[in-house]
Amino acid sequence: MTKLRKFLGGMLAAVLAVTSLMGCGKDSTGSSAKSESSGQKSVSADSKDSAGKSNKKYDCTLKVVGVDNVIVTTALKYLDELEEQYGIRVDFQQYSNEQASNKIAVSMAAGGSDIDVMMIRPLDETLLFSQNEWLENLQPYIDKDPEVDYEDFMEACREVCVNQDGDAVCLPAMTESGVVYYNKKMFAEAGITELPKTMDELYEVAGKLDDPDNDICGFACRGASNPAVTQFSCFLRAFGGDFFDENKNATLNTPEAMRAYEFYGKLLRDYGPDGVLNMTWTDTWNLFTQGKAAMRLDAKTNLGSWNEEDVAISMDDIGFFDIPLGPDGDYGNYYITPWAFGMSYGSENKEAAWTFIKWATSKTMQIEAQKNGSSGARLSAWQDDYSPWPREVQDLAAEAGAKSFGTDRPYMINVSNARDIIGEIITAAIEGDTDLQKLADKKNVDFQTLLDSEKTS
Amino acid sequence: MSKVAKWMDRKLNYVFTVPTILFVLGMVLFPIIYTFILSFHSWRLSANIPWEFIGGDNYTNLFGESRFIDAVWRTFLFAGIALVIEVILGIAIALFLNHTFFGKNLVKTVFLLPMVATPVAIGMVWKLIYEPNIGILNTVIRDLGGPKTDWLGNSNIALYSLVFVDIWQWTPFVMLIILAGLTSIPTDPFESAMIDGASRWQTIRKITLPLLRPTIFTAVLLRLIDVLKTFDIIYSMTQGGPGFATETMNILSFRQAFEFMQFGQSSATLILFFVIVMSIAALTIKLKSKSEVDF
Repeated sequence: MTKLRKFLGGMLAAVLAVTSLMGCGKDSTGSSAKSESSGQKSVSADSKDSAGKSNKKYDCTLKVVGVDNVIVTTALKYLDELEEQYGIRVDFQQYSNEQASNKIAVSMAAGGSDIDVMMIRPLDETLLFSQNEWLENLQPYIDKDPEVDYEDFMEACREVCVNQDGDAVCLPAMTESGVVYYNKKMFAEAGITELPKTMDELYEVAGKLDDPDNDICGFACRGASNPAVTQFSCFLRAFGGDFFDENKNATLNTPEAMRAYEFYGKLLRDYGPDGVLNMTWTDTWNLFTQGKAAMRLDAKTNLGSWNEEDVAISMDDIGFFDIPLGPDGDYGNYYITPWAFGMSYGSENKEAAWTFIKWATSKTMQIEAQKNGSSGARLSAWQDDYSPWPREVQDLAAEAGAKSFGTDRPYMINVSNARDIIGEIITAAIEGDTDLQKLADKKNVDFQTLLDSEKTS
Repeated sequence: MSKVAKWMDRKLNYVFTVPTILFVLGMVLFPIIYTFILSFHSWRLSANIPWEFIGGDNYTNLFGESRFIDAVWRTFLFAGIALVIEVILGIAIALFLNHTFFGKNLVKTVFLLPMVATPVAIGMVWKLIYEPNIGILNTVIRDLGGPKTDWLGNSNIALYSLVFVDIWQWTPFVMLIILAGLTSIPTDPFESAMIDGASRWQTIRKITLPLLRPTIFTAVLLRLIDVLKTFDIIYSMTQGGPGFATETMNILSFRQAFEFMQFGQSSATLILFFVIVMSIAALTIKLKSKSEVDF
């Protein structure tokens, strides 16, 4: 029994010791923590004040859940400064997009106190997370803090970061728009001198470049049903269609939408890569950078994934052109806000979390990220030539900003469900379904039911 | 002897069994009851918003949705094909390995390798093997003059491509159980058969297989439960795509919960799934008890 008591006593002491080193208590001495586990990278800023006698404003460790992109890699470089200035240490947990969403969902169900700040995808999650009351209202913080310069964020970005009452619930960190990447060498070899300006020309050029004998496809784009919706939006809108009208009436089966499905399906069926129905942006990116695709449509920010060691072509081989116009001259490109920082409703360090969000989306950090290849959400990030992107991409981004759509998917609460519905028609179109209209009619009813459920919720 | 020790000595049967019972109640029964109750509610995983009781709506929604019906059909199709082939192949390999030959242990070890590998890693490897352009499968087929096939990208064959991976991975499991069963079969009936001049095929059909029947049922039961709830291979290879071509009940319920945030709906799917699996398992056990033979 004595041994058991000793053992239990020892265990209790160990648990207390571990507990005292965790968390973000105001008086915590907080030492650094670095951990790595499968599927997750965790990076912490080292504490320089091991004695805990800090005169900094906060003295705590924030738990931040995010992904691995240029915004995060830039922020991670400057975490020491954040601690120096505010006494905020950061436990930054990086996941894949889906894993981050799952992690957030599970944490929020448990009260949300194990996350202080989260990176969210505004077009998918602002409305959903707001409805679930997972996001702290940031409007009071913004109103009393002129330093944040809220007006400097692009209007289109701000619009997708507010809840149903119009209050800001996250701050935008990045923008993104579509572009067609093309292989200059392949264009030259095929004798193509004019870049496609219309969808018909795009199809024609893709046909000239398609070379199945050498496993080279003329045009690569997403074909996996749910992920394909965002890039398909460029075609849908170029053909004069949309997901729903201003009264939230589903428009998935209009003649314009049907023409878009048929064109997208035919383009990828005839000149797309093998296995396109399972492809997302990483697959088409790999094909293009391995010299297996002559053209590829996706976000400009994919350039941030360029790694000289993994590619078979050089950056000089890559050209860019804007999304071609539809048959009636409609332009379908998007200019969206892929990432924003929000605060967990359950955070026990809300002031520190706000300071982190303000810092991570500040002009300085946005400009630094821009220099690393990001596409800033602040107007000030575009005021000078900060970007390392090729000049033509920067020009295309600037040009697209003014005339593009602020969404590339139906902006609603149940986005993922809606994307599944639309994705089913896209899949059928690529497979060459002969009765596409019937399927689109059926899916339009499903989509309308979903839209109606949100009107009443 | 202290009082506590005496008490423990008297109640030893409870001391040993109660922790296990509590563990099973906590870890198995509680989630099932929780899921069952949740299936009658609407909940989006928010601690701020209480559950909303909606009666049997989650169940009626499911039966009105072709996506669910299709997922049920695919689950059975996947499980049925995989199970039948795994059992037939498993028995055949076990009978083959039941003989003494040079390198038998090495062959046995090689056969067992797929079973011990991590399913997600297997999924990633097979995804590469199936890759239409650079995958080894198409390369070999092309070299032999065959057509290029989109193994995972064609809705008509994607499910069967996944079934093949399951067969590849789990046939050794069936084989292992049957091999264990073969060693426990008495030798007398075989000696009698040999004296009576029975052929090899007759011996297998009339003696080995009937005596193995209980073992085969055990293998079928274990594999059946497992194959019905296959998730990792499908999720890592196709995530239910292309379209919904490989979406089984497990994948659908996962998406309902973590992508659509419909936890009530997902719970209803899982409860139905649970009922189906339990019914089939009960039926198999009943059949097993009737199958035992004696010589």
